[in-house]
Amino acid sequence: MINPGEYFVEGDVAAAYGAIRAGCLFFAGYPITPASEITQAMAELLPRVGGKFLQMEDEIASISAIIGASWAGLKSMTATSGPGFSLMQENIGYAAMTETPIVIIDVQRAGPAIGQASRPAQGDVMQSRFGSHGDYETIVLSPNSVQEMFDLTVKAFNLSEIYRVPVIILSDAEVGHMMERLVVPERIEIVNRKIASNFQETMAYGENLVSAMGRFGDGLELMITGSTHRPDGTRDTGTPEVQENLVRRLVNKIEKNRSSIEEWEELYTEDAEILVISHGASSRPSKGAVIRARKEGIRAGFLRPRVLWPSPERRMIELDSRVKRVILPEMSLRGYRMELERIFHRKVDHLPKVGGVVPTVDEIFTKIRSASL
Amino acid sequence: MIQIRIGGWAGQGVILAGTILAETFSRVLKKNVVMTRSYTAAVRSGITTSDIIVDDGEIYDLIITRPDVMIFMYQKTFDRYIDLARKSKYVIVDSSLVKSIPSDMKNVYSIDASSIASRISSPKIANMVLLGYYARITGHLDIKDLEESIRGTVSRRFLDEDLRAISAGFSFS
Repeated sequence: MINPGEYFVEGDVAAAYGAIRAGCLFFAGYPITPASEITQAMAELLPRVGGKFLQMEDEIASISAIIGASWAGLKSMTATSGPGFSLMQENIGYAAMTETPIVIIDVQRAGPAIGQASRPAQGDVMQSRFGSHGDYETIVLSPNSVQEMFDLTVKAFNLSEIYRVPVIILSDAEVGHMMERLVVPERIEIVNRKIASNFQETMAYGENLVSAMGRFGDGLELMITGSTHRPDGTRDTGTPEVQENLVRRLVNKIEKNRSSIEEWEELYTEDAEILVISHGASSRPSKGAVIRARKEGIRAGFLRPRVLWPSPERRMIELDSRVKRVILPEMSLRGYRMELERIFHRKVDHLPKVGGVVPTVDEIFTKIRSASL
Repeated sequence: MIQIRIGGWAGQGVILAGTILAETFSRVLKKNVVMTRSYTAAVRSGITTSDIIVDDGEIYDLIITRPDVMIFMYQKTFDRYIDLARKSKYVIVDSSLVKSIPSDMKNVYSIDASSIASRISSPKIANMVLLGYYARITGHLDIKDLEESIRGTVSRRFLDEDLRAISAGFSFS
C-alpha cells in the first residue's frame, strides 16, 4: 500500500498517503472544503490496510473519536478546515491534558466564519497554537509542497508518538489542492509510542518528561480525565501542587525538547541584511523573491519554519544582530506577525495578502527592493 | 519556464484538462510541474481556472504572472482575465463560447471546440479538443505525449472519444 515510487497527486492526497505510511489505522472526520480530499482518500485507503474509517456527524465528534481510538492503541488522525478546526479546539486541549497522541490536519481557508471555502489563507496560525483554553503546548507543522504534505504528515505522527501530544499540520487550500510530483521513498523513519506493560510505567517520566502510554484492553486500570489529575490518573482538582506539576510538565515536555523538535529551511542567511520569513504556500514565492533579489545584488536571506510552533526562536535571535529588516509575506493580516515581533523585539515589515490568492514573486520582490533602498 | 492558464465555467472540465496537461509534463516529459486551481464553492457555477507552471528547476510562483498560454472556454472568464491575456503569447478560445474578443488582440487562436466535440460525441469533450489544438499551436508537447497521459488518467469508458477529440483538435487548421 502506497508503494515507493513517483506519484502525481494533490497535497491532500499526499497527506493521506503519508498517514498510511506512518501507520495510521484510524480516521474520523467530517468533510469540508478544502480538506475533503484527505477524508475521501482515507476512506478509500484505510479499509485496505486493516484500518477503520468513520464519517462522523461533526468535527467535535471527529476529534473525540480519534482521541478514543488513540487510547485503544491506534495511530489516529482527523482533517478539517477553519470552521471545523474551531469546533475542535476544546478537545485539542483535552488531548493535551490527557497526553493523547493524535494528528489533526487543518487545511486553512479564508475566514472568518464560512469565508471563501475554496480559497487559501493563513489566518489560523495563532489559533493552531493558542486555540484551546488553559496552559498547554502543542506542535504545529507547516508544509509548502505536495512532497511535504507527505513528509510532514509522517513527521507529525512521529512527534505525536514521542511526546504524546496533539500535532497539528497547518496546511492551506493552495498546498492542499495543488498537484505536484510526490516521491515516496523506500525507507521511512517511523516512531511508535512506548506502550506500558505495567501500571508503574505509566507514571515513570523519562528525561523527556514523557511516560509510556497505557492501552485500553490491556488490563491496566487506566484513569483518563481532562480534569486535573495525579500521575496515576486519579482526579485531584483541589491541590495546587498537582495542577502546577501537571501543567508545568505538559508545557516543559515541548519547551525543554524544542531543539529536537524545531526544523526550518534557510538560504543566503550568512550575510543577509533583509531577512524574509514565510511559511506554507506563501513561502514558495518568498524564496523565489529572495533568489531574484540576490541576483540583483540585494543582501536578502530566507528562513522558513517547517515546524511553526515551537518557532525556531534561537536561530532567529542569532540572525537578529545582523539583520536590518525582517519581512513577513503571508496570507493573513495577523498570522505569524506577533510571534516574530516578540522574538525580534521590533516591528516586522508585514506583507499580508488576504483576498484568497497566494502572493507572487513579483509582489514580494518589490517589497524586498524597497526595503533595501 | 512555461506558464499556462485554462479558464472556463464550473462543469466544463477545466480542472481535468489542467490535470491531464500537468501530468503530461510531469509523468511523460519528466519536468517539474505545479498545477493549482481556483473555483467557487458553488456546484456547476462560477469561474474556474487551472494554472500550470512548468520548469526544469524549483518552482516558486504558484499562480501564473507571465502567461505563455491562456485557454478560454467561457466568455466571462475571458473577460475577467483579459488584461493578463493581452500579455500572453498565445490565447486559445472555444469560439462558440468566447465570441466577444477585441479586434486589436493579435494573439488569439480560435477553434470551435464545442461543435467539433459535439460531432464526435458531446460538447463535454471540448476541453480535450482544446488540448489537442494547444499542442498543435504551441509545440510545447507532442500529441503522442498527451495521448500517453490520457491513457493513464481518464476512465476506459471515455478513452476512445477523448483520444478522438484530442486528435481532432490537433489536426484543426
